[in-house]
Amino acid sequence: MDEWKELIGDFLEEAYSLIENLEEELLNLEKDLSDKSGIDTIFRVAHTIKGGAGAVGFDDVTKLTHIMEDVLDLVRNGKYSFNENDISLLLEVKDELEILLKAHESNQAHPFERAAGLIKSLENLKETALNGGVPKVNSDTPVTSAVSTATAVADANEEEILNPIDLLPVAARFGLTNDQMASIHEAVNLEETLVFIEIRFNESYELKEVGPFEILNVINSFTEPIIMNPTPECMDEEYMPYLNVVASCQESIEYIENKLSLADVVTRVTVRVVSPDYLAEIERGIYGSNAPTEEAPIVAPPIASPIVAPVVAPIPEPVVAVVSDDESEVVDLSPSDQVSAKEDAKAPAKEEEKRSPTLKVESSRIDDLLNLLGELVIIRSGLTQFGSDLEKSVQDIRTSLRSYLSSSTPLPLHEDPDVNIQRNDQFKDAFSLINTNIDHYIEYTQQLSRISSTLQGRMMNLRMVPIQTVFSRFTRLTRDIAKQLNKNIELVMEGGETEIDKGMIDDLYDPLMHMIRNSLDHGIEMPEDRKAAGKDPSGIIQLKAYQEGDAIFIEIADNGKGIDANKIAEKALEKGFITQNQINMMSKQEKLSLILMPGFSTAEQISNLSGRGVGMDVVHRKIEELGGSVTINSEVGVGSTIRIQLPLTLAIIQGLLIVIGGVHYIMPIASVEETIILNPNALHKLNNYHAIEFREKLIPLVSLPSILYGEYGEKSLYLQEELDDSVSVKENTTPMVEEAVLVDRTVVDMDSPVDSSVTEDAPLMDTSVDSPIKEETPLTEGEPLVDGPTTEETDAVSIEASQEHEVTETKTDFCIIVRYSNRQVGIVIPEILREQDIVIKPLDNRLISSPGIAAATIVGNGEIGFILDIPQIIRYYLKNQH
Amino acid sequence: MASEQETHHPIGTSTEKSTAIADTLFRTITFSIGEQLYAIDILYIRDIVLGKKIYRIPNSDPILIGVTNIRGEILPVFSLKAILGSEDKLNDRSIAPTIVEPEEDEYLIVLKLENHLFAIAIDQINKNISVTKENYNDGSYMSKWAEDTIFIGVIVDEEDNILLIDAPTLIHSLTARISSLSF
Repeated sequence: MDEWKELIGDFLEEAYSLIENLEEELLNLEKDLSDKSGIDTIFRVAHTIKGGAGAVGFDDVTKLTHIMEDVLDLVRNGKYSFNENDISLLLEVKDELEILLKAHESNQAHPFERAAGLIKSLENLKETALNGGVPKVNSDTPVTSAVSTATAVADANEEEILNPIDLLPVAARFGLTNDQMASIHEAVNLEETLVFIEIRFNESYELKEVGPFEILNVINSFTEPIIMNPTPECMDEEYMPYLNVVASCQESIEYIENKLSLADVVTRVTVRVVSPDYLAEIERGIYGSNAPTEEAPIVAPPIASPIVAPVVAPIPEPVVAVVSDDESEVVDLSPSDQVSAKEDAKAPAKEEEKRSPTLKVESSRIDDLLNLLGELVIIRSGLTQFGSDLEKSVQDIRTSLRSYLSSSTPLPLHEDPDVNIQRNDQFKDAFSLINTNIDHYIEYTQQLSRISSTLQGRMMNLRMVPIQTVFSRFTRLTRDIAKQLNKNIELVMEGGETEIDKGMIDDLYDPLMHMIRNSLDHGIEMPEDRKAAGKDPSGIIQLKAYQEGDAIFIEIADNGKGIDANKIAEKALEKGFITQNQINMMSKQEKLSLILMPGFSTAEQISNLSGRGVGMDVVHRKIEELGGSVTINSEVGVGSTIRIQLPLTLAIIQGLLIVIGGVHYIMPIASVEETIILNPNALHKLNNYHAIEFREKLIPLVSLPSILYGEYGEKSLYLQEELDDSVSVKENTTPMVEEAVLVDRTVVDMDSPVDSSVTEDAPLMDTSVDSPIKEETPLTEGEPLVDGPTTEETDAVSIEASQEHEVTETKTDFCIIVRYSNRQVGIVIPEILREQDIVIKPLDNRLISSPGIAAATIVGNGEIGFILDIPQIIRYYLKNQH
Repeated sequence: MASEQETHHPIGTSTEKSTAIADTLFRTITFSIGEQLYAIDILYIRDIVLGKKIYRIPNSDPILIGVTNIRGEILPVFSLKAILGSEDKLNDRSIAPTIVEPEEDEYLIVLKLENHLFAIAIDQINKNISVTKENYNDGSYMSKWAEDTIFIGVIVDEEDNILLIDAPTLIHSLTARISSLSF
């Protein structure tokens, strides 16, 4: 039973990935309706799914793919050419297939009506193709008519509709290889009587599965098959609705036909005695005007299942290549053939690409390995730390014993001078040995570091998948919606090969979809409006991904009408999100960012596509959850660009290790803009809120210990309610409530990256105190913050602080500047340890719910650290302030 | 719930009195909180540990004491006392606002079910008891009257009446409670 389930699972997995490709191929085909390799690929997909579905007993899927395959085969044979409507139909079929598969997966019954309707449409299409299609009577028909049996001719019209195998050339129907053909030739030349028997089974027969075996019994009673298609092994494995046999037989055609025409079991029996003429005809059937055979090598799919093999595999490649070259001069090539000849060079390369061997591994297994690797990373940090501690201790010993170690003055280790000298020598040897060993140790830990970093990198790579897997889903979406909206829109994708953490892929679809829908719906104008504005009537939406440093960027750009920042601001004012005063102080960028606020929608009319007012907020939240950020740029009349920044990976992050109340917390480096030492001179108190003046800006401050532990939290040194009057001098009267946080007065344009040049330009309040500020975030890994010159600076600040606040301990608060809703917020914390790689251990969020705690990690010695979700923690703080 | 219990009884390899094995419905571990004895089906118990540092989770539900690290897994520790509505000194955030240092005689029972791994803090571990038809009074019918109860029966052991905690109900009530919180 489990094996069966596994089989179904395997099939579903394969089918889903095939279907995913199918959509892409269909859309490509739409662009070039005569793309032969495209048609072949689609045919192959249908065929493989059909085979697989048959094996697992999904009848509806089998039926649908069966007829789809038939139609495609007609196209392959040049009997019909697709038009755009047909592609739409096939896309619908693809959707239905997906639905059917999903229904099977969840064991739900799915009504067959829609599929039946599609089957009907496909059958009609096939009918049209057969009747009105290109009257290209290929080798197949002459061969059949050469046979004396009248039934065969009649059947050629009726039965072939049901059986795709009949559309194949004779040799392929019998699964004849080149060698076998040669043997048959030889046998015929030796005047041996060979018969080709073709049997088509009645698929509506109740016991259809036993049919082939019944027939085989009968055949065995009067002759011995030489070649069978399907082979007996295949027959054992799976039911096929046909059986083609080559046998040596003296009986008459009538005898064989009578013998094999078992009522109910078979629908048709065709028997032919092989003559040299007939063989020649067959060969022409293989190599001659029959178009698909030219493409035959491609037909054998890389994922060749045994079901496919017997039908298509037998045509040997080299011969095909040579002969088709010759024949192409003679045979009347249809335009599509010419195209295909051009495409030929391209096609194999494409195939090669698809064939690159891959291994499917459950992602949970990789996650397990990553967990282990995480432990390793923790131990590595421990070892490195341990090594430098050891080095330091030895250094201390060396310093204190310097005179003994360097000079000849011996240490008084024993009363007896001789023994003393001996002991001293032993001691010196041992000490130098320790030194050497520590050097070795450090060398080894460095190697370990290197290897584990590489390993970490490679492992992370395993989780990476090309973003194309998300992108490709939008081609169809864009096409459908654009048609629905009567707009001409082209979706241009770039950088689909950019790799992104598997964990993010699924979560990215919704936000991207929202944004693309927005562009489709609100961005790109109607063609006539575009024309009137002097633009190309068809709009372009560009979806672009690229990696830059430690981040992945995804851009959605359109050349539509753009977003009017002032309109956005008005709307926000109307909705009461902001005040007129705030608007006056906002930059264009800030106004545009208002669109990310919850409940904001500018659509005057709610369409069924977007404009429900949740879109951009959902996008924003989702991206934040993934540790990323969203920025919007827009130019009225020119277009809009929305840029998403995402971290490279989800499993290991770079974090700033901080300590609050003895508990480790990790602030993701991605959210940290700067780390500064809290300078009491720059503090401002605004009603109950605190802010710090930093680079000519007032940055609101929040105390992390109080947010986390409330009244039990460690009190911040400066952020107490009773603040010195001397500190709270400035004339600010605006209450620092949520709006104020969102609209803190910005002098420096938000767009310009915060860099140290600003520090130089800005007139600083106190250079001596501010100098540590230049000691910006990228602290060297593993190096504790309070070290070297920083320590001195820290002390300097503390001393100053102690003068003002009568604090005797040498203790300072740190302020981590983060970005929230495009504003800077300072988070005040008591202690920063260092920067470190953090392995994320998710918390069971159905049992643990805490605002601002995103996940946990093991910091070392089994200590638990909590990973902070900065936007969430600020939201929580603001909410509690109300 | 009763039907669920019935499916897990083939537990019989124990050092217990051989007479009991034949009739054993399931086996339990009993423990005490204050004076009252409780039991829980051994099937759900993955571990019993003591002396664990528990890290408080800021701004979380008061029944959650915090999280602890058990062999590299970070799992939540709930106060059974608080769940049952009484006070728990482990849960007093004014005494230990950030970390609850390990104390003796404070046991954590680690439970695993329905993909959740969590621990409950209890006072004292008692003996193992095999539940038979003779010593067990099924009380699953009580859920009709008391919807929220996490108990499904009473085990009578000499003088003691031991309340049997139904782990699936416990986890459901916990997840329901947590999901109802919003911030």
